[in-house]
Amino acid sequence: MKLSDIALRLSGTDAYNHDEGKGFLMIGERTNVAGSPQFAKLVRAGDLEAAVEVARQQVENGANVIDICFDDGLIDGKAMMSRYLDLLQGEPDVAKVPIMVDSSKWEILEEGLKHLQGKGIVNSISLKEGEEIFKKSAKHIMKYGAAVVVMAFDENGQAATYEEKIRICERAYRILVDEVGFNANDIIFDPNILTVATGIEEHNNYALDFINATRWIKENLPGAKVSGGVSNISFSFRGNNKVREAMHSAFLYHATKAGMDMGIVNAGMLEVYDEIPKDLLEHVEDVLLNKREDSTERLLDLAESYKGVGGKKLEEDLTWREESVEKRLEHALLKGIDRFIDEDTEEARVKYGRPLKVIEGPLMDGMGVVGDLFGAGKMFLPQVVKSARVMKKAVAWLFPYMEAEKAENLAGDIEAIQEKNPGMSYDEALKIAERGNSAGRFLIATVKGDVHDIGKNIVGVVLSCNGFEVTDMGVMVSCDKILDRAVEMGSDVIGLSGLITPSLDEMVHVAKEMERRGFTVPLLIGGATTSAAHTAIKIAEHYSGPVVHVLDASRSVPVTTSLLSKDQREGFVKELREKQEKARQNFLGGPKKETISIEEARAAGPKIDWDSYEAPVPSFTGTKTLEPEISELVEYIDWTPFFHAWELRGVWDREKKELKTKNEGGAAEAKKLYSEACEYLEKLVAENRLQARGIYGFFPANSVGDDIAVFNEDGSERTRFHTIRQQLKKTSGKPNVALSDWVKPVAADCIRPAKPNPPIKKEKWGSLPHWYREGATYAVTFRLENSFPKSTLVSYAKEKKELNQHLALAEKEGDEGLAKDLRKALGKLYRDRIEGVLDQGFGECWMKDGEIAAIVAGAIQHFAGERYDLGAWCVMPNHVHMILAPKDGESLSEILHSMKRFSAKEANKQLGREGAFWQKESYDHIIRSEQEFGKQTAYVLGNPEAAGLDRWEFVGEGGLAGRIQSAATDYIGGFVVGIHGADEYAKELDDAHDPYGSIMVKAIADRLAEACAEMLHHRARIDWGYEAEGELTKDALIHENYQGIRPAPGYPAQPDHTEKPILFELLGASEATGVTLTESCAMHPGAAVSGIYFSHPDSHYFALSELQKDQIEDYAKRKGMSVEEVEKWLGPWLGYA
Amino acid sequence: MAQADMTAELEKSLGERILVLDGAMGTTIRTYGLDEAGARGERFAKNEKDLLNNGDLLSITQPDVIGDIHKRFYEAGSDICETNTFSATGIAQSEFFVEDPREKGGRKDPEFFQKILENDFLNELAWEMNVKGSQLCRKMADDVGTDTGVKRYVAGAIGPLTVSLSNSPDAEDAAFRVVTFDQVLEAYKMQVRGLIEGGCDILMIETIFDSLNAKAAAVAVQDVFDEDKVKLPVIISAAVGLGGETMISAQKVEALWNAFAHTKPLAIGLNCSLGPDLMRPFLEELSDVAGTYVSAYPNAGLPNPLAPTGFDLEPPHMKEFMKSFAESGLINFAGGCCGNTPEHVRAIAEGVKGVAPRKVAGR
Repeated sequence: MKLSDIALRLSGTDAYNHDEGKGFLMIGERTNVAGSPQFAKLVRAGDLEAAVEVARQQVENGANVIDICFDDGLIDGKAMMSRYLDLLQGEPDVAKVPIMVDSSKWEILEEGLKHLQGKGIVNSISLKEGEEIFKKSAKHIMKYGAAVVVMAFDENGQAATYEEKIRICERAYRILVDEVGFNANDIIFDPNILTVATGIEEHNNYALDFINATRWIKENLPGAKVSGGVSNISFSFRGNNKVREAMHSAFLYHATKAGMDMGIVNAGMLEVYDEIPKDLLEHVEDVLLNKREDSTERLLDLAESYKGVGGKKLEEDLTWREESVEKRLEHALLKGIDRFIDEDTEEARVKYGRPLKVIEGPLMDGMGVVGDLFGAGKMFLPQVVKSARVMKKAVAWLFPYMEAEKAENLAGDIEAIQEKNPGMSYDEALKIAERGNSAGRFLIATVKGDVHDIGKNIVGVVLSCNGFEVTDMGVMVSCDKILDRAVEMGSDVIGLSGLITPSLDEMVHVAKEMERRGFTVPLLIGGATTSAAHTAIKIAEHYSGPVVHVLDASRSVPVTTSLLSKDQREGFVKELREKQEKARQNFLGGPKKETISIEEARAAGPKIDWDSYEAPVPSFTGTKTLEPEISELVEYIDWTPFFHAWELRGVWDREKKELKTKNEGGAAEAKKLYSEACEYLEKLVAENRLQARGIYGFFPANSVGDDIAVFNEDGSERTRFHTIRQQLKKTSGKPNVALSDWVKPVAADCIRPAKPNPPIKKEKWGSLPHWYREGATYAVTFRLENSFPKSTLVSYAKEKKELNQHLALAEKEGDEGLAKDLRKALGKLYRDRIEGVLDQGFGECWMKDGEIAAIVAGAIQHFAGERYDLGAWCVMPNHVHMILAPKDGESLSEILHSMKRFSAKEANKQLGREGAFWQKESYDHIIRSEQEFGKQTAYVLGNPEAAGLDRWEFVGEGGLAGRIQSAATDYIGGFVVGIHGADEYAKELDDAHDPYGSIMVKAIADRLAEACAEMLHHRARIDWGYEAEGELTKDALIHENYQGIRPAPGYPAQPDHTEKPILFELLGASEATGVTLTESCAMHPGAAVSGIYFSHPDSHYFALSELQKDQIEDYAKRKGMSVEEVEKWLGPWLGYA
Repeated sequence: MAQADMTAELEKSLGERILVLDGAMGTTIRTYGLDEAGARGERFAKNEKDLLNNGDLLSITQPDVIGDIHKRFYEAGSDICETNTFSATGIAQSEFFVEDPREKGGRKDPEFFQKILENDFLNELAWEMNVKGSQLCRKMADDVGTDTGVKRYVAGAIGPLTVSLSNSPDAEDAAFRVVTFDQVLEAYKMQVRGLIEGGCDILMIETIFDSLNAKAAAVAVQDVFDEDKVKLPVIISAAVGLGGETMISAQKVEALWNAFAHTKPLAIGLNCSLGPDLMRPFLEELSDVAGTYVSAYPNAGLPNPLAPTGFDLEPPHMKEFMKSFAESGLINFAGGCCGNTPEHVRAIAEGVKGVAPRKVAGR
């Protein structure tokens, strides 16, 4: 049989398997009121905290099992057993070991069993009251799953001799194993260790009887274990610890050799066998093994010489007390030891000056370690709760100091409040002041539909241990009840808990309601199915206050503390939002959020009252270049991102020049880093290593749908920016924005200016080339089939062919000047010369007939307003002129085709002829400017008169005339800045094996580029006329507390980098600043920033995500790019696969 | 009516192959898109609190849904399905039917729960839930068993309760408990009797967060066996955290085995809380020490509210993990907990098919 097959398997939270290979099983006996007067005193006095400490010391000193006994006349044993065992369960260091429930009363033993989650030992039962009761008890114990100590007693009393011992033990064994079915491994016999050296002769062999009985049991009763109360053996030497300790050791030495498995021993009353003085050992063993008649007398004699010699005391390990106060606090929190917490906390309070600093500093750090270990599965919940209780003690120690501080503040606050509100009573002022000073009220509830709350209860315990006022509303609490109560009690934080999946939706609902009802307090989210990602992605977006996921109870304290700390809140929330934004970005590849179509999104755009809006007018249009000194830029630097680049989280305080962070080491590190950065900056300035170059400018502009058209001074369109609209469905009522929303739109009843961008599409149908552009307005001419002399046509065609050949060559060689001239000549060929011939009235001139002309005029006007907007038009005897702008999605060629086909059919019918009526080709020309529009309109309207037709009625102004926008009604700006020289310098440093310096220089250059952008934006706002010089402090500037934004292409509000070339070209930025764009639209040098300025007071930064195919297709069309290409550039922002 | 003791029959099968358990009840119910009104039915239409998430109630108000779920699991290859009785005790049900005293500043304590135990409505409801839950599963087991010629078994599910015997919710008093051992014992005894009455073959004390709660359940089972002269095989299954400890009472797996070995369970195992990957080391530990059959039905990975099923792992993943458990000789029962649909169970059944079961010394 293997040892493990006969092992006594026990457990607390840890398993303990005992077999002979394990040696002696130590049972701690100091938690036995019979064995320890000191323990009895503590329990009787109700000092259970100290009583629990006794148990802890037992385990620390190596007890494998602790014996717990409350058999004392002054103690209610049953109630105390229940309470004490429950307390121990909250004591992880103790709860790990198996417990021996010790009593002579069955009801206490039974009560004990109801409080053991592990497998303990019942001490004890016996045959004293007969077989029936013995069996019943054994069965009961078996049901609970405990081992049992069986005393060698029977109906006749205690077994003293070897024969009695083995007879009773064998009988008990057979009953238990054969009749009750008890696991033999779980039977522990106590064959009675009785006192020797009493002077009574019958007692002399007691030790030996026990040892021999032990040997017999181990040999004859398989699986059974042997135990005993060791200190009994030396009872006659009370007061002589040296001798007693020697007797215990020597007895154990021999008994264990015989197979004794365990015993109740005071570990502090035990000498190491080998260290017992030789003569003492010899005398002791004579007694124990009953070797001589006179051994008792001899030992008594010798004992005299050891009287008063102090025995050795086992000390607990207190080396940790030698560490720093911070380490000690950490150790105390980690181990859940509260014995020294008051003195340590006091020491820390003196050291740190303010009580709050102790909490936010070493105590929180300690709890942080606890949280980390718990998160790593190295600490368990009960330990965390225990740590929290120690924390509570520390906070309790600090409490009066905080109260005093608070009272001081309060008095000041009341004074201030009363000063401000002279009529206010003291009580009212006190109320307001108290509110401002409250430590923090925490409302916690399990959401509606969910009944799980054990975890939530633990959070409540941990938080209230840390000085928060916790109100726990229980489980299944509806949103309204939670929020009503929160208002009623003025809760500072709301915590929601839930375990099942549907609770997640309920949490979202609560967040929405909090937003709707105007809450601003932080919302904490916890529970098994919740996660940081879910909180960031699904919950946080519905509530504008901080929404924090709390992984476990241990984290609830630092999170709540940070959220309620004046100093830490800002940094914490900023960091939280960054993290959550990142989580949202990361999630974009995942499952879809609810989105809306681009039409719906446009309809859900912001409603701005443009009629009453006066767009600010910049003091100049066009561009300005700037080459500021590096030293000028320094004051514009926002240092916070610089520290983030070094993985130091926090917010930089410009005034104090320190990083606000929870991490003290981080703050010190930041200080060092900052002073180094300043040194580098000085060096860079002194050696003139860096040059800043920037350009900015303003341009007349209006939005056209989601585009922003930029105009020339003459009103013609110069270029066009394209923006993208948010398509996530918003339940908050917030608009779905695009950047174009903040530029005044072109007048609603205007035709849209033709877009120069995308480039004109050249199509060829018939023999003429046609230029098309989405949204363009065209001047169109078509003529009758026979309106032109063939010979002239042939010669013109030849001329045209030559011109076109030259043009193609010029375009190929990039000779833009020549190409321009050639195009001009081609235009002239049609406009002037062909026009002249037409007006001469060559051919049949069917439209001289009013009826035919009326048919044609009708055809021209037929779809006006439906498929196209019609401008000036006229029907001449052999040709037709018109100005028209096809509606979205309509094609010019199809419009003309249908117009011509219809009129030809009708006219032929009227004329009674067949065959071609119109010449196949039409002449169309894009109108590029207001001037041109005017010129063309005048020509068309004046054409009949110029051709000598008197009172000609087939001419009209259409609806288009006069509606073209005369000038832009708003402006946008743009800028590009770059810091030159950093890359080169960084490379030098890299080459000199100074990577640190290299990173430093690059990080500084990045900051300078941002600073330069900030400075330019500052100037631009002043130039734009809506901000005064010196109106804003530097801090306000850094925190972007100003009107207007400067989003950069490629960033969240417009992630498309291909908008950058448009900006660069508009500004002429590359020539002016030396900042160039790579093929992938990245800027070179790297320390460069570009962007578009918006001045509208509503303009703000936002992020795009989940873009849908409908918008991408529309956007591609607007940009003249293929859908695939757009998808490539916008890949991460797409909300479809 | 009590079934005969199937221990010998089950042990014979266990010697030959790995038996397949079912998947998740709770997360599968949610795929049926029931609404509050549907969950309440006419009978509970006027209840003050929401009942949609009171899954056990559906055995009464939506028996077809519950029956369908059992049927789908059996058809997917489950040898054993668990009854829909995870929270079918008066104590757990009180959360849905009795006002939470904490809403009005009171607290839950043994006095409160004594009233719960004496509440006729709750007692009758719990009894009905257990009997009906057990019957529903029994019928499907017998139907599918007859149709396929492979015998199916019903395991009466005994869940962990919403209260803990090991933990104090009172910051001021670490010895405070909201409920007593005897109260928990009483509630569990009624559940055990109801499950047996409904015809289950096995009793399954599962998702153990708190070993002392589970111990009360084990005592309840033994009491019922003794008092009613019946005997059924018992399976013990714990939900452990990242450190391999029962989540509330922090008992490690070997300690758990030591504490429950006396019940001579048909199997001991782990379920819920972790996905198979994180569960594996603790399953190895348990398999190493347990002197009986070992069961495992992990979650389909960790909860991930952003995943379509709410959990990370798809059927093929579960198949691979469970197959590797089987091939390493760790298990005798394989199934899935939260997030495991009938498709997952089908995959698990395929994964463990033909793999030799873990050997148990002396069986």
